[in-house]
Amino acid sequence: MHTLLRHIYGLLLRLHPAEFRNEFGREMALDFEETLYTFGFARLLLDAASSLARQWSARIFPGTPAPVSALRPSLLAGNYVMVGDRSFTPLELGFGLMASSVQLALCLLALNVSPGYRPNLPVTYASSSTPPKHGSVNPQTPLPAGGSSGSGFKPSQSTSASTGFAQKSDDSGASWQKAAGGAMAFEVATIKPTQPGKRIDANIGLNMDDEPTLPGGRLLVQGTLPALIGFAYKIMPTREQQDAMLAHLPKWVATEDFVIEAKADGNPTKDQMRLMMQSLLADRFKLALHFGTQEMPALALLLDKPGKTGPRLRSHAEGLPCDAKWTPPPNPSSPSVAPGGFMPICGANALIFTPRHSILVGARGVTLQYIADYIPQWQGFGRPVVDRTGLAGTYDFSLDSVPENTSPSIPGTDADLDTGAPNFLAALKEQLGLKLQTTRARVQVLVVDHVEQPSPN
Amino acid sequence: VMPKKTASPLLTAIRKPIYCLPSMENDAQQYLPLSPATLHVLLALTGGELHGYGIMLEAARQSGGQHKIGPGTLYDNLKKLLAVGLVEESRPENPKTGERRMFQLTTLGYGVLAAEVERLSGVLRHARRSLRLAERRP
Repeated sequence: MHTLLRHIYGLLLRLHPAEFRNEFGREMALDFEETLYTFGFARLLLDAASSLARQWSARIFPGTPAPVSALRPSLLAGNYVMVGDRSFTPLELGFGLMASSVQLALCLLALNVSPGYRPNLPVTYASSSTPPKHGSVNPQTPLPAGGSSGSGFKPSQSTSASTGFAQKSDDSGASWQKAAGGAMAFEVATIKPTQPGKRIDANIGLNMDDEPTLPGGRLLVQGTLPALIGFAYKIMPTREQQDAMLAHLPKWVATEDFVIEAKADGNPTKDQMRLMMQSLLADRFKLALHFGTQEMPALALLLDKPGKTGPRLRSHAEGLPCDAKWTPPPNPSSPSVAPGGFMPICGANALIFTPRHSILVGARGVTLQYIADYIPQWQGFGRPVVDRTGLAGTYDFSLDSVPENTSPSIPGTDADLDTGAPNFLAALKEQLGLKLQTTRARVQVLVVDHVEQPSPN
Repeated sequence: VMPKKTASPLLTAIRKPIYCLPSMENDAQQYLPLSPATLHVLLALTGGELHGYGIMLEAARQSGGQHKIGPGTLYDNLKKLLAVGLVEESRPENPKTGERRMFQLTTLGYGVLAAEVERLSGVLRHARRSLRLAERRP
């Protein structure tokens, strides 16, 4: 569908006068990709059609240079405000419309003559190495490429709510759905509102981690809808982005907690459970969402010194293989423990409060994008973090620090406790050889189009 | 720093912000009043250089989502703004790296925007005064 819409828009672009098309055609095509799901195709089509008429009118009746003031209202002013059109007369506009109609008719004729014809506008993507992919997400529609990483809810331009999360630099994140087997569903599932103050012992974490699941295909989780969405689509919103998204959704989305108990056939992996959760949310919550991209303030995760990582970040290939026998270290927070060595499994991270009141976080067999995705969670950053280290593959790491700007206090007093551990940013630099830098980045955006209270069991 | 009254006219002129130079004021006036879209496009660019999509987002944000400028409208506008020198291309596109064409305000663009803001302030002052007077009437 997206391809068809792009072709239709591309055709309209091709009909513009060559001078205008050569100067702005590529940019318009790029902007079409960016705005398709926020502006809607009808508006973009109307915009392109009116642009077509204006450009041909301007070409046929060049006249004097156009002023930019709005002394006379544009005939075409409607959804879009115009910058001081040269106020073409109805006759001039009529000629412009006729010229563009003739062009359109000729193109349609050409399409009939050669059915294989496709408008061939160059479409490249400015800020990401992979093109943004869009599409309504439902159990039958796999998540777009790169959609498995990053974080954050952010208000969209429309009334729907969106969440931005950092885009992976490769396609590996999206392929988790394909690798997990595509759309699937639980055999049976119940959704119940949580009783006030009651917590259950969930048997699976509502996070991006890839820990093994218990055999038997049983799922028992508790969470709000944003947490369930994050789990189902393997994304992680930052705090600010989640708050912003919730402001655009019904209040119950933020406040109501649900317990979901479900049973699947066989022994599904966690990723397969995610796919089943996608189906369940679409079926019971009538959840409709899609993915787009949006440029927003972000933090870039970079190597502090080019080509050099810190002592506590090393390639996973140099450490204990994921399937090897793991022995718990006697003192997990000791610096002598290998990076991530206190973690019994790969693909998940854990935080340990050390005896010196610092926080040790570590993981084995994770990508740098995974670390980037988790940094806002560890530190409460509002901005998403994008991986720009250029480091491919998986890594083991351990990071021992005190939270940024929140020094622990001596118990029973307000005095700061000198833990001897560096703060987070310093530790990031000294121990992992990484640094954070403010930037603007194009991140994938999850837009919630529709949601309802769950249907009865 | 305000120039001293005894300073020479030339020095006074130099110390004034560039958009207040008499010749610039005259240049700016010919573009007023600005249409809402021009105002939003120019305002969007006051934060620095932006590509087309950035301008669209910023304009939508500034107008609280009321003015969603489509690509056709935007580039038609930019074409005119480039032609009259209110906006200039700050960086050309680079298809190899995927970098997009960036646009920024020119000095004249700043001048026109400042003049328009001044004009709108006058309109607002007048409107507020008129409303207050209307409220006092029995």
